Amino acid sequence: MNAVSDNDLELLESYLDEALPRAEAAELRHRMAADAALASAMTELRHERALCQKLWEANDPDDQAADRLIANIHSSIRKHELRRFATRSVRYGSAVAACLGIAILAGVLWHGRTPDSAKPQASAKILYQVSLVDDSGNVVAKQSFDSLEQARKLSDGLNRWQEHQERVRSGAVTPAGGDQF
Amino acid sequence: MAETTAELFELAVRTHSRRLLAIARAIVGNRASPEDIVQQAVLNLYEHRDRYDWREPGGLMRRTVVNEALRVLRAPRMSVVAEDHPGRSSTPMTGMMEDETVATVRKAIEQLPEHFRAALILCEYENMSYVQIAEILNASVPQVKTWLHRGRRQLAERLKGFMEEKRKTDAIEK
Repeated sequence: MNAVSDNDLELLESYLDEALPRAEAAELRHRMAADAALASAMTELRHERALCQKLWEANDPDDQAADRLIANIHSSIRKHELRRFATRSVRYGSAVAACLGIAILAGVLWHGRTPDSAKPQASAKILYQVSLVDDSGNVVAKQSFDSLEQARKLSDGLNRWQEHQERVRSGAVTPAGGDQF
Repeated sequence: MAETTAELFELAVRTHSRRLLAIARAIVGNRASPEDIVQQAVLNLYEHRDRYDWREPGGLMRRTVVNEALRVLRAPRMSVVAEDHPGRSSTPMTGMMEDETVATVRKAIEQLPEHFRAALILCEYENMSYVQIAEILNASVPQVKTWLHRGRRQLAERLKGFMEEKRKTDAIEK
């Protein structure tokens, strides 16, 4: 094929590809009839193509391979749809949750108070109360404590003071230098 | 008659999958899985199916598969997925001879640069015009002609020894 120029080879290839205009193709055929080297180059090219053709034929998938491919395509489309649905659901869910959050926050800000459950429970710390009662039974004062111990301490102290006052009043005890207990 | 996009898409997949697989096989050879390439290409089309006209999907599907195959070949990691593709062989003897020819040609084609190979496959296997090939490979017609010419010359050079050997064998058989 060395006797044929590169341009002529390209021309021959275009001829085989049926890419030459009719006039050029006819001219090439005339030249091939007169030029043995050109004709031989054409034979060589046809032979090369026949070899390639064998590969193309071998590459043709059988029915089984084609069916398997179609099934795989369907399966991947299904998976894709599922993924898309899941992503969309998560996105919508997040959006709804965000909207609810914003609405609650806006409500809280609007009313200028936090919900009861979120309020800091100051009174919750006051667990024990000691009431001071007068002779008629009326509550005159209340004292709150964090612990039972503190409440008992005050209550015991008050009881002792009351007993002491009773004894002073009845004359059983004489105060020495003021109230002691 | 299929009318909706979904129906037309389904019809296109059923009609063209086999041919697309052959194109992918020819382009990637043993360097990637042709099935995966077609599957990915079709999935890409499916994602944007509303953008396309599915009444004439052949060109679009071929273009997508070729581009996907070239993209995969350009990816840095590549591994051999199989020693050979299942071919068709009639009798054991002719089968063996054919297999040898096919293996030699495949090896020679696989050594061509990607664009030469793609152009060659679209031209010789798909019988596409230079204009159609240029469109699919996103190149100009002269560029396609150059790729084809260079690809064929390189292929001829690589097959030279094998062709001479074969010619001798054929002459002895005659």
